[in-house]
Amino acid sequence: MPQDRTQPAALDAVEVLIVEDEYYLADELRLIVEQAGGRVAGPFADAPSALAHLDRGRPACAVIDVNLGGTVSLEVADALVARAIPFMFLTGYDADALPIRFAGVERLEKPADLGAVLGKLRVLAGPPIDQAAAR
Amino acid sequence: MTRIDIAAADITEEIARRPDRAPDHALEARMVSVLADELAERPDTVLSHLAACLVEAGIGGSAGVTVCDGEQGIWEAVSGAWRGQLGAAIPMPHSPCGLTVERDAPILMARPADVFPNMPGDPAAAELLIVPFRLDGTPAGTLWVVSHDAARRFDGEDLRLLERLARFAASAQRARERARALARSRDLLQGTMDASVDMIQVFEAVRDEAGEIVDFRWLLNNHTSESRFGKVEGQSLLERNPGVVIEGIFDIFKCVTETGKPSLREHHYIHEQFNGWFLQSVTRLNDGVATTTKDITEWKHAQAELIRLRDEAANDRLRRSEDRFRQFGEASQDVLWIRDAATLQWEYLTPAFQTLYGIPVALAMLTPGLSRWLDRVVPGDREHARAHIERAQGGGSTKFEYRVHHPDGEDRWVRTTAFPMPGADGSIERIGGIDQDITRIKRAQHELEESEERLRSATEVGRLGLWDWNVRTGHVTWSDEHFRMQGYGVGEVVPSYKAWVAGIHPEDRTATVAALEAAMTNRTEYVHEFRSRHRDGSIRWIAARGRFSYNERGEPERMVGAAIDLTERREAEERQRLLLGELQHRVRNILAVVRSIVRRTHDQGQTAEEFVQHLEGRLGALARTQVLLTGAVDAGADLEMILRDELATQATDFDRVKLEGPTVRLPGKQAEVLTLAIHELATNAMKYGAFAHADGQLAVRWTLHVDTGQPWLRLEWHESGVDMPWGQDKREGFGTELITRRVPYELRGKGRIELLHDGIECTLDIPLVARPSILSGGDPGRISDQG
Repeated sequence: MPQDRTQPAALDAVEVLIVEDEYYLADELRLIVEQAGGRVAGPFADAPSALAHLDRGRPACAVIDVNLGGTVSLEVADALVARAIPFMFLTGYDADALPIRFAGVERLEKPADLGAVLGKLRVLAGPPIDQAAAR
Repeated sequence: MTRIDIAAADITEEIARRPDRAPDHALEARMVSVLADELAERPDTVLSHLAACLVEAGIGGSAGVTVCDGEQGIWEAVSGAWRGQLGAAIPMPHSPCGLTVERDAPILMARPADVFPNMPGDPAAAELLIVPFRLDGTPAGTLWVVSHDAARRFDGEDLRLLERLARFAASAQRARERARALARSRDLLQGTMDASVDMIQVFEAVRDEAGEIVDFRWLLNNHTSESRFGKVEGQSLLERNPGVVIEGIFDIFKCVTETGKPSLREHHYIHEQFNGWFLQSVTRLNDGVATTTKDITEWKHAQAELIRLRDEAANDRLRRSEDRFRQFGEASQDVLWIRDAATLQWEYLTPAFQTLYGIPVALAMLTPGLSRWLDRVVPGDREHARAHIERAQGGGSTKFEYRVHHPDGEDRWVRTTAFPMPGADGSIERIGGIDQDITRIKRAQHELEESEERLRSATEVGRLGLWDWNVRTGHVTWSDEHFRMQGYGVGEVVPSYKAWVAGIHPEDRTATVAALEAAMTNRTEYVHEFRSRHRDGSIRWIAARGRFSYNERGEPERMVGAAIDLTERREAEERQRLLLGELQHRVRNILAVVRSIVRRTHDQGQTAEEFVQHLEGRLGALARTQVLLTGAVDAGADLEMILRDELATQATDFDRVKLEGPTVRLPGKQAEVLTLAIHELATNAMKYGAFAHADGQLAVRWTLHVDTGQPWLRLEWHESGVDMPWGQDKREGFGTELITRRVPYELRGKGRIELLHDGIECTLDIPLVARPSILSGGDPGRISDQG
C-alpha cells in the first residue's frame, strides 16, 4: 500500500476507534491511523464489540460506519455522543438518511479519500495546545 | 100510633070460660110429623104447609102466618078462604098481629073487622085466634086461624094446638132465614167470582177404588169461565176437556192435589174450543183444586209482535252495517276473506282476490279446502302457508308471507294476516284473513338490500372506512373497516367521537381534531392524514375525507366521510427511500472495496498482465457475488453450485475433482466471502496446484454441524498429487489473507490454509447465521430511533 510520507505523524499516541464491517476497508483505516502514529482501537465489525471496548477505554476520536452486518446501527454513535467522544461517519449513506441529531457530525461518503479521512481525524483528535495558540 | 080500642072485640078471656073439646092426639101427631118432615126437607114451604094443615084439619076456615118485617106484617103463608091475601103487607100497629106481638100473648077476637077495617071482609071473620112466636127471644110473627062460621067458636084445645104449632113456625122461620143468609153469601161469592175476568174454577178429585185420581169434576165456575165452558158444574173434566192430558194440565192438578204445592204455568192451549195462551195458577182446595186462568193470548201476541218489531229493527241495522262492510271490502285493494273453520270453504271473498291470484271469486268460492288457493302458491312456499292457516284454525293469529304464481306470468309476493273468529260458544267457527300484495315492497326491499350489499362489497374491497356522525345526537355509525382502522375489533366499541379521538396517535390528535373543527366551521371539506395507534403498538396511516351537512339554521347536523389506510403505501414509499439509500451505500461500499482490492492486487507486484488477469478474476468473482446479494428476497446460494461455477471459470477438468457434501444453501454474506475464497483457491490450483500437475487431484468435502447453538459449515479443500515447490514465496497472498483474516473478521468463522508436501489443504469453518439485510425483505431497517 503506497504511503504518503510527506505528512508528518500527527496522531501521536492518539487512540482512534474504528468501526467498519468490511475487512478491507477496516484494514485500510487501521493502516493509515497506525502510519499517522496513532493507536487503533479495533477495528470492530459489529456494535457489541465496539461498545464493549468503549466500556474499557476512552479513545480520543472515532471513525464509524452505520451499516454493520447488513443493518443500520446507531448504538455506537449514541454511545460516543454520550461520552462526548468526537467521531465521524464514513458511510455510503446520504446525510439525510441519518437522524437529525447527527446533523452536526462529520461525515465522509465512501469511497472516501483516505487522506481526507485522516485530516478529519486529526481535527477530531484535537490539535496540540501550542498549535491552537498559534492560530 | 093511634090507639085503637079493641076492647069491644077482645074476647080472649072468654076461652077460659068456654068448655074444651077433647084433644085429638092422632091428628096432632100426624100434623107434627108432616111439618117436621117439611121442616127438614123444605124449610121454605113449611109455613104454607102449616097454614094448609090447619085448614085441612078443619080448625079454621082460613089460617096463616104473619112475619114481622119492621113496621109491617107480611102474610107469609095463607091458606083457606083468605088465601088470596097471600103476601099482603099490613101495618103492624093497626093489626091484630101487631097487637099480639105487642102483648106477646094469644088473643081471641070476635068480628075483628069491626075494630080493624083493613081486615079482609069476604068471607068475614067470625072469630080470630092468634098466637105469637118468637125467634131468639124476640117476637117474630104470629100464627093465626079464622072462623068464618059464627057457630065455630075457638076453645082452649084450639089455643093449645095453635101454640104448639107456632113453635114450628118459629123453627121454619129460622130455617128460612138461615137458608137465605147462605144463599146471599153464595150469591156474594159468585158475584165476586163473576166480577173477575179470569176464569175461576173449582174441581174436586174423582178417585177410583184404589184411591187414585182418575178425573176431576167441576164444582164451581165463575161467569167468565161459564161463558167459555157453559154450564159444567158436576161434569167430568176429562170428558169435557181431554186436551188437559196432552198439555200436562191434568198431571198438574193431580200433583197439586196430592202435594199441596201450588203451580203457576203458561200453556199454549189449542184444544176443544180454545186456541190461545193461558196463565194458570192452581192451588189445592179440599180434595181438589181451585184454579184461576188468565187468557194471555193477546198479551202474548203483543209481546211476539214487539219481539218481531225489535228483531226487524235489529236486522235492518245489521243489513245496513253489512252493506257498509261489503262496500268497504269491495273497494279494498287487499283481499278480505272469511273461511269456514272446519271445511275451509270461503264464505266471503272480496273482488281484489281475482286481481291478486288471477282466479274469479265465484270460482274460488265453489270449492272447499285450501287446494284452489294453494295451487297458486309457489310450491316451495306451500307447506309454510298451509301450516299458518292451520295455526289460525287452532285459534292463533298469524302473519306470513309467500309467493303466488299469477297467470300473467309474474310472481307476486303476498302477506296474509289470518285470525280465528270464535262463535257465541267460544269455539272457532270461522277464520278471517287479509291478503296484501307486497310485491312492490319486496322488490324495493330486495333492491335496497342489493344496493347495500353492493356498497358494502365495494367498501370492503376498497378497504374504505366509512363513518356517519349525527352531530346533534352524537350517534356514530362505522363500517367494519373503520373499526379495524381505528384499532378496534368490529363492534367491539360503540362508535363515537370519543372513540375516534382515542384511536388517533397522541402526536397527531391535536392537529386532526383541529382539521375536523376547521372543516365544520369553515364549511370546507375535511381532508386530513393522520396516524392511528393500535393497542398492539402498530401504527397505521389513515387518509380521511369527509363533509358536514347543515340544517336551515346553519348548524352542523351530520358528517359523512370515508377513510383509507395509507400505511402500506407510506411504508412502500419509505421502503423505496431506504432502498435508494441502501443502494447508494452498497455502490459506494463496493467501490471502496474495489479500490481496496485494486491496491491489494497491486501490492503483490506482478507484471502488468498478471495484475490485470488477477484483477479481472477477482472483480469477476466479486460481480458474481453481487448477483447473490442483490437477487431475490432470501436468495441463498447453493454451495455446490458456487464451487462448480468457480471451478468452471478456471476451465477445470472435473474428472479430477471430487465434490462431496450435503446440499447447503448459503446466506448472502457467507456466499460472497466464500465465492471469493473459492475463486482464490481455484486460481491458485490452476496456477500452481492440483490442476497445474498431471496427477493433481482436488477433493472438496463439506459437512454441517451444530456448535454453541448455531449451524456451522465445515468445508475442506484438499489438493493432492502436487509437487509442491519448496522455498516458494512465503509472503502472505491475497487469497491467504482472505481466508485467514477476512473470514474471521466478517463471518466470525475460522480459516486455515496449509501447504502440505503434495498440495494445499484449506479448512473453513463458517457459522451459517443469516445476517439481517435491508434487501432481505420483511421490515426494512430504518435509520431512526424507532428503527
